Amino acid sequence: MSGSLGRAAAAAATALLRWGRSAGGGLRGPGVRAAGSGGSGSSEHLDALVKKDKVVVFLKGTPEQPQCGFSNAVVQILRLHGVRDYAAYNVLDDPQLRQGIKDYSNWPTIPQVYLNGEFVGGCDILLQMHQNGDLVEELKKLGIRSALLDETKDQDSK
Amino acid sequence: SLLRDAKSSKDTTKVAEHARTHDLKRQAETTVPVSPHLPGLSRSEDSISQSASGREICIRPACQEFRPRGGTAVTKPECEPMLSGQLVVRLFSMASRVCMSRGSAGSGVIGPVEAAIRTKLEQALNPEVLELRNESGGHAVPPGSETHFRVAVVSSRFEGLSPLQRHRLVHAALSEELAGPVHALAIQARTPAQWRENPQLDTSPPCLGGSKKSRT
Repeated sequence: MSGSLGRAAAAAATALLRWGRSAGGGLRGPGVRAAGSGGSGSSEHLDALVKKDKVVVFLKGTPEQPQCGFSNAVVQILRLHGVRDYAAYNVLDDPQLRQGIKDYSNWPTIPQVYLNGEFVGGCDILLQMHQNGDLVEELKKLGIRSALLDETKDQDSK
Repeated sequence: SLLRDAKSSKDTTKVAEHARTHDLKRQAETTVPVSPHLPGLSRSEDSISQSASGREICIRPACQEFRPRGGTAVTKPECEPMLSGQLVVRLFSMASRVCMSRGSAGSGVIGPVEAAIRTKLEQALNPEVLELRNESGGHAVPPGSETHFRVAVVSSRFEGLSPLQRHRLVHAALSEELAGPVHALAIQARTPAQWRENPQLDTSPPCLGGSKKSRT
């Protein structure tokens, strides 16, 4: 995807994203849902988790205080797109969850991103989607309007 | 000292000697990819079979010479016009960043895990380009660790595969390492055409402490 929207917005947004240490604060909405006790790593439980919300991420740390640079990258990308209402699960809180989600997704690392119940990938893939405009499209399919669309619109109208 | 070498590259003695001792192939290029060589980097379309260790190389990335570990970099006279001042500065800063972060946590030694990763990816994906960096030194792990890696794999086997499928191929090749010591692997999986557009191993975001970070 190489429309001017994608490129211009993604380029500007990526400049902001440049691995700056952000507290991740100012987020409204994404709650760190408790993964629940007992069987928190089971596939039935995780199946329910990833389908319960449109945007689900498994992180090290929380959106307010990520404890991993890669997890923070996921948080920042979502923030850039104005995605406020998403479920974030902190694997550092729960070893069963940490191992369980790796088995469930068949993916060896954290962070992990689910959109509409479907596994999307980790930080690298989300970043790629953000840069090439795919993320805006995927969010649109979920009925989520990316904030980057509005930014570009403002720029155009100036 | 690298910067000094570049500035003094007009020093005719050094340059002339360099030109004399190496059979240099002129590269016709329209774009100069910003990508310092990493040891072990090989480009198949121009095999450098005669490159020997200890040989000085040109820092211009399009000039296809190996950088021997610990080797110095100068600019070949043919390449000099193609290197703008800004590009040179960028190359050096990238190179120093790479040098600082490469090798087992910066010590310059390639550990067994790194060697295994390289071998397995070569076998599984027959890559045109394989750039691998041990980034453990930038994380909250002991010196000499082999826990965090970044890899760029360029292979025609990725053609037609989604990013997810490509990453899963890489994971499959490294399942043992990922079940074992490696718990972070940043992947750039490109087809040869994609790599040529942007031949560059990215940098990873800074560590935020991991599970060792104390909660405030």
